[in-house]
Amino acid sequence: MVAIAIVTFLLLMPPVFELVDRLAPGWLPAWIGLVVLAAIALVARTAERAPDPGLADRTAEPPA
Amino acid sequence: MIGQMLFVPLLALAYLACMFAVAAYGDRAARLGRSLGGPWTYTLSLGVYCTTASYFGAIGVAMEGGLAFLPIFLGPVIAMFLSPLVLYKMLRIAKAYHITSIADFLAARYGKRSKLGILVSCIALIGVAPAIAVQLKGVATSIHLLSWGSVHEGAPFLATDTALYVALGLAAFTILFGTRQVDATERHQGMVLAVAFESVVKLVVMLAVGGYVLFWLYTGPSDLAAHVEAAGLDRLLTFDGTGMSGTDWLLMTLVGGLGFMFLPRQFQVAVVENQDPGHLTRASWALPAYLLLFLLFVLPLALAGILQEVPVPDLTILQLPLDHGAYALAVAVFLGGLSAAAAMVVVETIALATMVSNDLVLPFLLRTGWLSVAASADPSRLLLLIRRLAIVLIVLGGYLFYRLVGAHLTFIEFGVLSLLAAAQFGPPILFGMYWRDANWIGALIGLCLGFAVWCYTLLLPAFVMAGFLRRGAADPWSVRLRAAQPAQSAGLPGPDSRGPRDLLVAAAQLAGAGAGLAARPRDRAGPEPGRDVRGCLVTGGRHPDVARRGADPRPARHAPAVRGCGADRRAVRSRCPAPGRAPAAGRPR
Repeated sequence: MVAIAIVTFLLLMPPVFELVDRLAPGWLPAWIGLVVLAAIALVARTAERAPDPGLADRTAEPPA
Repeated sequence: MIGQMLFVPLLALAYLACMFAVAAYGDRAARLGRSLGGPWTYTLSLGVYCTTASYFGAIGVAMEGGLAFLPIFLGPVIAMFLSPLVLYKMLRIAKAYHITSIADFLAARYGKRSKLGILVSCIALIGVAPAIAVQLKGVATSIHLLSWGSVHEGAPFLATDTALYVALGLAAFTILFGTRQVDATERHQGMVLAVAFESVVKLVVMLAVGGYVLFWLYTGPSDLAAHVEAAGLDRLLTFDGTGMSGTDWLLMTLVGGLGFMFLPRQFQVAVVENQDPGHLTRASWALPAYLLLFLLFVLPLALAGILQEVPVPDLTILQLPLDHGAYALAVAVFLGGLSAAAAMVVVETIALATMVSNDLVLPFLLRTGWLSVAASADPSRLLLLIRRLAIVLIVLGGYLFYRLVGAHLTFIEFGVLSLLAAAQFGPPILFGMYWRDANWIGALIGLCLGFAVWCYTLLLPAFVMAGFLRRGAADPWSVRLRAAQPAQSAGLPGPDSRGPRDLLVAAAQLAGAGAGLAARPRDRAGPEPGRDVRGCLVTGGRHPDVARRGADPRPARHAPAVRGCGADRRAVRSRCPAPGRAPAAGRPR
C-alpha cells in the first residue's frame, strides 16, 4: 500500500500534469480521476486480501 | 410569504430532529451492547472532513482556479493509502493508553507533558473558530437564498440575525447530541452513526445536483464540453488554470493530508471513536472512493456556474437548481449543507469540549484546590457542565469570527485557515512517533513558532481585510517576511500565495524541532521524553517493557508516568463510566 501511495503521489505531481496538458490538452481531470481510481482499486485489492491488522491484537489478549 | 420564510427553518429543525433520532437509535444500540459501528459506518464517519467549506466552497474555487480545489482532497487520499504507517500506529497507541483527544495524544508522546496538552488545546480552540464560522455562514446564507432569493450579508438586527440563531441551534443540538452522559472511553456510537448518515446525505445530494446539471441543463458531458470550448474556458481544465506553482500544489497537498489526520474532529472519529483497528482496512480505500465520488461533479458544476453567470461562486450548487425552477432539489442541497455543517460542529465541538475539560479546566481546578476528587461525590455532573459551557463558548467564538471577518472570506479560505492551524500538530506528532531524539521542548517551540506564523500570515490579514486593523499594520513585518507579502495587499491569500505561508509554518516547525533537539532536556528530572509511548514504535506498537516480557502484549500497568493532576483527572473520569463500558481510563481493557 505504501508503494501504491508513493506511485500515486508521483503521478499526481505538477510536472506530470504539465506533460499531460502538453500531450492531451483538456484531459487533465480525466487523468487525475483515472490515477486515483486505479490506486483505489489496487489498495482495495491489497488491503482486503491482507490479514486483519487488529486480529493479532485480539488473539494475543489473554483471558481476563 | 411568511409561510415560505418559515418553511426553510422548520425544515431544518425537522432534519436535525431526524439526525437526532438516528443518534438516539445508535446510543440505545450501544447501551444494549449491539455494535452498529462496522467498517462502512467508520468510513462514512471519516467523511466529516467534507464540511460546508468543501460542499459549497470547492465549486467556488473551481470557478476561479479550475483544479485548484483538488490538493486539499488529494492529501487525505494519500494519507489513507499510508494509513498502515501512521493512522494504524496512532490507533494502537491511543487504545493502549486510553487517549481521548489529540491534546492527550501529543502530550503522551512526550512523556505526558501537560504544557503541551494545554498549548495544543489553546491552538485548536483558536484555529477551529474559522471552521465553525464557515458552517454558520454556509447555513445562514443558504437559508437567505432559499427564503428571500438573495444573500444578505450586512450587519443584521437581533431579530434577523440568522447566523446567531443557527449558532444557538447548533450549540443546543450538540449539547443534546453529545453531552448526555460522560463515558470514560469518550466514545459516542450514536454520534458516529448520525455523522455516517449525514455523509451519505451530502454525497447523494452532490451526485444528484451534478447529474441534474450535466444531464438536465445540458444533454451530457459532450454538450457541456462544447459550451466550455465555445466560451473559451478550456484554461480551467489545465494545470496552468489553477494559478498555482508546483510548490504551492505540493504544500497544499501536504497541508490537506496533515489536516485530515490531525484536525481535532478527524482525530475524534478516526482514533477515539474507532471500535476496531481492522475497520481502517476498509477505510483505507473506501474513503478515497467516497472523496472521488464527492468531487466527481465539482468541475462540471463550476463550469456550468460560469456559463450560467451565477453571481456568488460559493453558492453555485444552490443557485443552479433555484434558477431553473428545481426548488425541491435546491431544498435537498440546503439539507445537504445543513447536515455537513451540523456534523462538523457536533464532532468538532465535542472533541474540543473534551480537550477543554480534560486538559484545561479540570487540571486547573484540581491544581488550585477548587475541586477535590475525594470531596466530589459525582464529578460527572461537573464534567458535563464544563463541557456544555465549552460547547456554547466554542460555537459563539465561531459566530464572533463570522461576524468580524465572515463577509470578507470565501468558504474555502475559512477552511484553509483551520486546516493549516491543525496541520501544525502533524510535525510534532510525527516527530514524536518516528524520531527517538525528538523532545517536548522542540515540540513546544515548534508549535509556538508555527502558531505565531499562522497568526501573522493568515489570521492577521483576515482582520486587516475586514478593516479592524490598519492596512499598513503588517507592513514592517511583511518587509522581513517577504514571502508573506500578500498579507499587506489583498488581505487573505489567493490560491497563488498560500505556498509561501505553508512553507513558513513548516519552516517554523522544523526550527522549533531543531531548537528542541539542541536543548535536549533528557538529563533533567522527570519522565524520559517519549519513553512510555514512543518505544512502541520500535517494538511493533507494544510497550518496550511488554516487548521485553514477550508473552503478555498488554501495556504495562505501571508504564505511563501519570503524574500530578493527570492522575486525579483520570480518577475523576474513571468514576463515571457509562454502564457496560470499560471500567476506567488508564487501565488496560
